[in-house]
Amino acid sequence: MRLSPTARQETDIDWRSVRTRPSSNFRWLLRQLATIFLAHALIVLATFFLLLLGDALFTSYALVLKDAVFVSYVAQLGWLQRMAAEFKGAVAFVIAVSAALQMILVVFRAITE
Amino acid sequence: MRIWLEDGTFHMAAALRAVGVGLATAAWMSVLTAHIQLPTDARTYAGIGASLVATALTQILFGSRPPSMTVVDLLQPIERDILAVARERSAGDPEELRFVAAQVVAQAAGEIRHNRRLPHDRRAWLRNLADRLSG
Repeated sequence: MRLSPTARQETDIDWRSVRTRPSSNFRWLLRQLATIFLAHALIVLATFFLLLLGDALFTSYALVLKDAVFVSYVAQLGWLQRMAAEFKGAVAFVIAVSAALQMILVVFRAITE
Repeated sequence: MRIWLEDGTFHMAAALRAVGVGLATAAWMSVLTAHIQLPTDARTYAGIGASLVATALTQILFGSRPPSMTVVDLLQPIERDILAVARERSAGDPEELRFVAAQVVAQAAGEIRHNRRLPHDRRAWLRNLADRLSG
């Protein structure tokens, strides 16, 4: 049976009463922070693994085409760029900033709401 | 699905979004500053600043509360089931229907907050909650 819009309004659940009782205790907060840390750690690992995989693929391509000087040169250059400490540092920096901000926001929302 | 898994998915999505936007901004800024031939130090500062701002904006603008903070996000999709169970118990009385629905929602929220898994047979679970209320 389909209810008319008016009837639906009458029977709708008042979600505000549930919303006003947040379950943000200290243990909950710790669990959220740990989850955020874990999510970002996974992203760091995945990013570095993808970089490594890209290099491996390109290097193997360069090895197969031994005589193609350009491919070999590009593979070397790509490896130097992607694996440079600055590049990896920049990736780690962005991920760390994101983790810190996400943690701060969750703590802020847990305290204020 | 367990509530911690919902939270994990939520945090993972937020992290991927913020990191993606931050890295894309840093890369874009790097290309841009190389194109206009800025000095190395200025390029570094520009990249750091841009990625910081982009990540912060993404987290602030698109971030929301985790599902377990208020369990509304988990219960709202089963609103129809809750109302159906409340309708069964209320015998057509709208006032009673609202009361039963509110009680079932409160019970369900309590159970979820105590880390109970959201069962597949939601109607049966909600009926069980309503039965517990009535008797």
